Amino acid sequence: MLNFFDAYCALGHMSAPVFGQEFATAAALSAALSEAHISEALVYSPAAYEYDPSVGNQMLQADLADHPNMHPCWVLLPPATGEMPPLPQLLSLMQQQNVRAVRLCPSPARNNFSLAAWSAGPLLQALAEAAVPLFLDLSEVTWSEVAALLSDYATLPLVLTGVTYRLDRYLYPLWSQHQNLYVDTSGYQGFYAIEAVVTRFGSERLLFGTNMPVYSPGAAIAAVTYADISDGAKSLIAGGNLRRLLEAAYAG
Amino acid sequence: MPVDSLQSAVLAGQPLPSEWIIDGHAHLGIWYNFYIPSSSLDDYVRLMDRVGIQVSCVTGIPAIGPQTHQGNALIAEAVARYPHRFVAYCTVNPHRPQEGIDELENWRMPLVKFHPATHQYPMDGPGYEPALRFAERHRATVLIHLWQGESDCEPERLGRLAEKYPGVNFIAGHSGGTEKGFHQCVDLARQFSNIYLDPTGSRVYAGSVETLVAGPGPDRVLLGTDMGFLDPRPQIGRIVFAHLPEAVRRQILGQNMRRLLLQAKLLPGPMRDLLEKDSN
Repeated sequence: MLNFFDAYCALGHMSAPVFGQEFATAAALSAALSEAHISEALVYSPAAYEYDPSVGNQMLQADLADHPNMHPCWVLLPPATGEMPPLPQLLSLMQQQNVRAVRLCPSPARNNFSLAAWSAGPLLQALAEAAVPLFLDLSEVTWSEVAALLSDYATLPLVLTGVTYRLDRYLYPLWSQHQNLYVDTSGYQGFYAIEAVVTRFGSERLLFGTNMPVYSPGAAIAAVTYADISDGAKSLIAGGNLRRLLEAAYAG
Repeated sequence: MPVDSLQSAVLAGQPLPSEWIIDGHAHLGIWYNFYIPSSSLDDYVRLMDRVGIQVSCVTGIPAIGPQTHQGNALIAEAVARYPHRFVAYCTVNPHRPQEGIDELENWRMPLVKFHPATHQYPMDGPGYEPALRFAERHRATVLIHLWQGESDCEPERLGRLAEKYPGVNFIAGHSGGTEKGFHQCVDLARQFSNIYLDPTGSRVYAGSVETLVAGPGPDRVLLGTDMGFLDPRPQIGRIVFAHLPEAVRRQILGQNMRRLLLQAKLLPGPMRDLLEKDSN
């Protein structure tokens, strides 16, 4: 049995839950993980981009306190407005609270800021130096921004979520040029797509993700268990790659 | 957590142990808009075997675009090579009704496919009528790409067709795609007993399959994978792990589509013989 570690799921109320699906409590999410035979999860709070990042992050910390198999993924802001602690303290606080991955939500509909160096540069530089994985949803960035992030912050592991089956003509050139690009599998559902990526780029580039509660965990699980790749490659995609990235955070 | 035999198979990566796994919505070919790592017929069959899909109902991707005959020929070749694994949809282009009649009469395929999105033509427009009359004559189920928010593919248009052609069974492809589209399709399926629902799509929404079943009931929801465009494995997983009784999931995975196929007058003999077995 594969040891699944979900890279992409959300805890808390949502402004507009799709098909009424949301996890109001950590216990509800825990039950869903257990039902899907997923042993660990990296979790973010939708309140961080639909209410306030700091409040959402702190709600997440409180909610996850009794669930050691669920790990927080904070949503951050660039430092200029002072809505979060200054960078050195922020990174220390994250490390102290065992926050080993972060998400940025820069789109105008969410936290509404620029990823350019004049805005997010100091934050991105700090994350890159600490090798803290950065999660970005593809709906919130352009491919040019993704390419620039990969080039400008080569030690920053960048995990794209919300990647669909139609995007290999963008992904393949980036994967061939950058070692720090990862994709979560929840939306990456092209015909034989997982096999093709493993063949061309190795088994380290994909992270098992469900996008719960929006998507079905069964869909994500079947994509990996039925993949026509080696058991070792399946194990890396199911959780090994994410565990490696999280362990590497702050290690330098 | 306890698992049933279907979930156990998915977790182990083993073929599904169900008497019928029939994919009612799949494709074959390559496409201009994105990279498809394989279009080899043998790769299709290998993947079907891996998951346990016994039968796949396929449309030719070129026919969804401009090349109607080329697309349908691709499907005919697949059925000829694997008569126990593939069932053919004949795709028609509503801008060329005579070509559609010629294709339908030439191939005499058991199923009919409309793609009003790529052909940019309303599904209830006159260009589709010859194909609908053919479907009525031959009890051919018609699969239509539906997408709420796209004018030519709005679910309400399917309601008009279902009313006008009560002798034709329709599959609401993608069940309208969006959450709103799903609910519209559910309402239509409650109203018209000749509408079947497939949840096929890359947006594998949790709770969506359950929503469809709660509408017209479990005997009118079908497995569709979009294989060729999409990978079939996530589509299988979303149904196997849906919060529905195992018996209902088995209906969706194949029993319902089997029933539709057996109604098709033009179903080839080898496939009919296979499907008429009580179980395999």
